[in-house]
Amino acid sequence: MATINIKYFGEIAEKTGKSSEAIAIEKLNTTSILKFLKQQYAIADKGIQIAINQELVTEEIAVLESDEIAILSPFAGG
Amino acid sequence: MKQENRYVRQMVLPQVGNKGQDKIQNARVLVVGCGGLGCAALPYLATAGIGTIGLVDGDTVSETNLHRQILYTQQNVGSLKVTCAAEKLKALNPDIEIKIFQEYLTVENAVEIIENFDIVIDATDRIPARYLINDACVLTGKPFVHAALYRFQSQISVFNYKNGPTYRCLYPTSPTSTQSCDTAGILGTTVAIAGGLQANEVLKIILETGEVLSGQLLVNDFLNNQQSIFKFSRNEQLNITPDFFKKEHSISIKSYPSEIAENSVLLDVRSATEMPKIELLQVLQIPLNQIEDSLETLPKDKKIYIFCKSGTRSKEAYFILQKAGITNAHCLKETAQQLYEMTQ
Repeated sequence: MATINIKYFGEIAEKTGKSSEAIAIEKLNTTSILKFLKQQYAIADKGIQIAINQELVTEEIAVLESDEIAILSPFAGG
Repeated sequence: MKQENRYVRQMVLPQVGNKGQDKIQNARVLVVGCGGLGCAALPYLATAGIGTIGLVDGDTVSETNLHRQILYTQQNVGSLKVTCAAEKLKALNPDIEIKIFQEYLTVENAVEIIENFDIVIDATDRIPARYLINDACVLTGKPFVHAALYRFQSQISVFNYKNGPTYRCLYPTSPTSTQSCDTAGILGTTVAIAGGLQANEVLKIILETGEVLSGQLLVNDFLNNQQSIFKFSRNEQLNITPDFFKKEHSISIKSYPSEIAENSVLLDVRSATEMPKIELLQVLQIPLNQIEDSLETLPKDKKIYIFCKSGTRSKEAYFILQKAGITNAHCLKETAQQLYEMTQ
């Protein structure tokens, strides 16, 4: 297990009940992050995006424990 | 007669000057949605002297709009947003031309409307509308300035700018459900800042100055004064074609089953003898050539979903209704044959 710091925004933060936390994941990659979100908070990976160090990633990629991870999702309001 | 003094304070800026003011006066900006974001961006676009401003909205002013939609007054409640907004903007700056589109942006009218403008502001409040604007802007080659809100947070970006990434590059798929301001709640000040940022990006694009938020998503949390910028790149595999556009954005009976049953009618514009017959309670049968004479018989308080054999006559009927000021009509994705099969 490894620990990473993760930030949440908008409705995702609403679902997790926090704007950031340190989480334990099995492997240091984006798939493990998605798996954590699904298991812990029932957040489906459809419609969410992962940013590593303020840059969006579109495929499975390795992360470092020192990386800043953020979960983004589209907002509807206007 | 242009009032030169009006723009003096912005023309003093080295980034504006005479040349920049000319660019602003020659610019044509379309604002899709005259709600919170639209009301926040529009006054500044008008007073800056944007030559042509287009307004798209089929909605009327309601009392619950007034705490944040500052172009409207108590007296405007019940009136069309586009006409009230146009009047207010004209009073702010009589120099500019305002074009109003008293309708919602749809798959039928989007490309036609957007074609006549240089820049689009996405000031809507629903995710499907944002994909519709994106795809229509890709088809017409126009940049659009996006803002979206969730409670105290905003996301701003400029899409399709000089071949840059689009909304689909940022969010390839939409989540199953998201909340709008109506359900999640919003302060007028949050919407004001986000709409102001949109107007600011528009002016930078017109003036060709500064760094435009292309390939960048600006995320603000106004409750805690936190700001982040996330970078993303163009997805070269995406290909928006006119066919994709039509299929993706046409309204399907499958997506609104309960609504269609309760608050809407299906309008069959084929001739009375055409087969197959659709035997459903809420089907109104008025052949295309009789629509204009039958406008009185259409329900005012229900949505109207039009269908025919191929979709061609539906579209014609749609435009007849639009022209008559009936803004709650849509063309259905399904043909008569498909509807028939679904009801069997």
